[in-house]
Amino acid sequence: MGFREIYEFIQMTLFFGDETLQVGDKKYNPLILFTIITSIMNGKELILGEYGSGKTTSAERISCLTKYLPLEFIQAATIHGHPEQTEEKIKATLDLGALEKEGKEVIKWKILPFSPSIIIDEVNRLPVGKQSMILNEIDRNIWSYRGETLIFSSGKAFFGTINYQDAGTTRLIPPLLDRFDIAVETSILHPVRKRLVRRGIDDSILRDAEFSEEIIKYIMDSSISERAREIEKYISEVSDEFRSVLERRIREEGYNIHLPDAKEMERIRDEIYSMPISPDVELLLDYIGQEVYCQLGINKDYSKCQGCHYTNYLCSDIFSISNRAEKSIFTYSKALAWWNEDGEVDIGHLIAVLPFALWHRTSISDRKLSEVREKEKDVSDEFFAVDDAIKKVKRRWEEHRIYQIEALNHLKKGEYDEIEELFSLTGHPFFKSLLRS
Amino acid sequence: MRENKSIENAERAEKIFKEVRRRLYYPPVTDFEISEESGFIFGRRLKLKIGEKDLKLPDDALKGSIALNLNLWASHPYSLKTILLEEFWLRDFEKRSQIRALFDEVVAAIDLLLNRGFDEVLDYYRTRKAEGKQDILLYAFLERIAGGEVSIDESMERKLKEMLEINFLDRREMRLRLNLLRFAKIVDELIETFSPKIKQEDFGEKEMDEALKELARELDQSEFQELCQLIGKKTTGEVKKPEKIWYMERSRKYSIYIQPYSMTGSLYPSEIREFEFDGSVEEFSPIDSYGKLIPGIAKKYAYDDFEGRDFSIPDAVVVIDSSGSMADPSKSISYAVLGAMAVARNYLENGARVGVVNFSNENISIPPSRGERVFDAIILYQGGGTHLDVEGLKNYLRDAGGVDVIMITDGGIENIEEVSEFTSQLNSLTVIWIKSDVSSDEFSKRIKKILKKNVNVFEVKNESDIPSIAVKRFVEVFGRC
Repeated sequence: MGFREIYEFIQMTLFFGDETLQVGDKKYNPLILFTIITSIMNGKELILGEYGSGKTTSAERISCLTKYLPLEFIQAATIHGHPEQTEEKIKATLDLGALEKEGKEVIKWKILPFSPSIIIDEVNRLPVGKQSMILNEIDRNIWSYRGETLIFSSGKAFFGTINYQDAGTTRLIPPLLDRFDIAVETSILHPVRKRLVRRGIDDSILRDAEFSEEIIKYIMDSSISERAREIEKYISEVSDEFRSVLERRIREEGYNIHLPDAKEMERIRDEIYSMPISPDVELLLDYIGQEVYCQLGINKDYSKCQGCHYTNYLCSDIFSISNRAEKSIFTYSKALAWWNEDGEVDIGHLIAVLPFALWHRTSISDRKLSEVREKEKDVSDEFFAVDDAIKKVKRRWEEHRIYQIEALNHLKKGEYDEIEELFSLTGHPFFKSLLRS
Repeated sequence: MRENKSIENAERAEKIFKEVRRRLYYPPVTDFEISEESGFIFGRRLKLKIGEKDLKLPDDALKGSIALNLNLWASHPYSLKTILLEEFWLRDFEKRSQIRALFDEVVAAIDLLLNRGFDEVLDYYRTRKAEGKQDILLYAFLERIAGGEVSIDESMERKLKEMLEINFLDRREMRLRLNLLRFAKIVDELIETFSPKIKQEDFGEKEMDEALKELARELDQSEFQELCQLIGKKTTGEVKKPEKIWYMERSRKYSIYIQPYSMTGSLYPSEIREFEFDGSVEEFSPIDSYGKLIPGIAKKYAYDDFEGRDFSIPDAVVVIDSSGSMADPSKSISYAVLGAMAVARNYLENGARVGVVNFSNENISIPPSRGERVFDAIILYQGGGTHLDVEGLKNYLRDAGGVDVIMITDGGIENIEEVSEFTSQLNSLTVIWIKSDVSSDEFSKRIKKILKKNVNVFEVKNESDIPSIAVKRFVEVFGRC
């Protein structure tokens, strides 16, 4: 399968980073791995880091190699977040010539809706309303402007980059953050890798200015709603063409990599979606899902944690795990199991994905953040806090797993008294939740 | 030939190690090496040492041995914190390290057998050579748990029965303590000298600091100090300033609301939005509207405070009373110190600096700064009279610039009139009144004298009052002096 070799190729030549993600017994560079997976699955990824740490570059280069389009095209389709962005600059505009001369409203779509990979640089600098508009449209791949609508059958991968909070940035609001399946930070670089970065990275293998111009010209010349299908088909054809170009160029560099075509990509996605889930994964997710709920009322507020019986549980560390988050966790865990060529999704895959799928979309209590802020780490405080909280839940779960299975068996038989006993033995919200009728 | 054998051994060990890790849900021991003795290599990454003796065991017994070692980090004791706590509970036992290690082994082994269905652990005990009476008892115990029988002498049988009455898998803190003490009484006289696989001394200073911080959050002050003393006796150096660690960690539990500055200056164009019919013509942006006034095309500027508006937290000065009427933080819990630390920590974590004026017989002060010295100045106990050098404070605040002032006292300030006159001139003042230290009605009367419009008072009678502290301001940033 080509993607594992693509990963190696990127890690060796195009984007350097330390392999800090442990999946079972293997280690990966999380940024490269999750960006490739997001491309395959047409997911949404948020990339965080300091200025010039390679957030946009990584998304652009990896998109080239997974969507098979020249770097210049991907860059042309990249949106730069700032408060003065408008729908007309991002998505579509009226053909002013036709409006002036013929009084007709002809909508001219921009490149963005047709690009299979969308990157928004500094997405947090877009005003909230515009973040919402774009994310909604990417989510459904349905684009509307002045009464006209484009509906695409093929999915899109979406990458948003974000600088750590500084002056001039708008905070992304929680419902928008929840749209991102996964969030990855650019890592601290090993000195040897730093040396390579200093010398400059040659990405000419991904470039083709002429071809990009040709693609952009084609789209711009025919970007009316009636020809959308034609453009979509065209993009798929040029992508297949550039796939062969990339394969040849990579071969010339001494790597023999097969880049999967559209049909193979479809098959890969099917394989990922049909990856079996181990019962332990379901048990742990059930356990975490109940532990995160506030037991003192649905309107959660960390100030209630003081003196609460459940104060050492996950509920006092992180705010919530949304349904969208659970879906992302499932999909990305399956993708990791597929990537590792494991037979099923197990706890190792789940534990690897959980912090990446949660840390950006849930608020973390001040107490938890304060606990970890002075610990040595090479990730952000927020990521570390979520990772630490998850590890602690996992340990509790391992202790209670056997009781959990027992309780579920009692539930099948309607033996609530026995479940009650298990609840008093463990004091854990999971067991209490089974008693809810 | 010998080389081939060792490659074979390494491959076999790797295969088994990986399998065991997977079955134990990937514990934090991610690597191993083959060594003379089995044990662990501590450091940045925890590594398992598989002893050469163990490599001679059959596959299942080797699996059991590796699983037992890994389960010490997957299940119990899991962290240095538990190890320290357990040895602290066993402080009256001379052989506490050995008892603790044996107890942890029992818990890890039972967890493997009963919770994880890892029967290979029994194969390990069946094949390993017992090195003392404690090993014989442990083996008999595990066999009995698994439904088997081992013949042992009468006195051992009695001990075995006592052990069988302990629910080792109940690891709630209270139960764990009782179980450990019961176990200690059973095995104390049996234990012959052996070196535990995990010892306090194996851990570095950083790991010890982290474990102590975690313990400080859980133990009460006197217990924590006692634990630090015990560690000091065992390790190379004393634990420095245990009371400071305790207050600092305890204070992490509390978030103090600090109202940020808000700017109410002029508005600037900040965003391009749709122009609406009721919009003002002045807001219309002809360039972004392509010169057209068409619904949906026409755009306007939305106005807002300018970019980069300052929502930062200002520096703070904690004026803390450490006179004799206040609780001595090293002897009993001082809510003044705890509250002050919570306030200071919240300012520091928001990027601000904190200055301290510690007053009693004299004002001992440090200018607004960051780092440990802030906490050192807060915890300093003078224990003398209660005189606040107002002139000194005035000069200090003038030098410090626009800062939030938080005063912490029981109200027993002797020169309250002078203090009251000065504080009434401040833009705002937050007073944390430590009611638990109030020893006479006179103090209550005195505190009322500083109650002015610009003063916010929070009463602290016990620890649960600390989260209600909030630092509010009475003027906007542009109105500050």
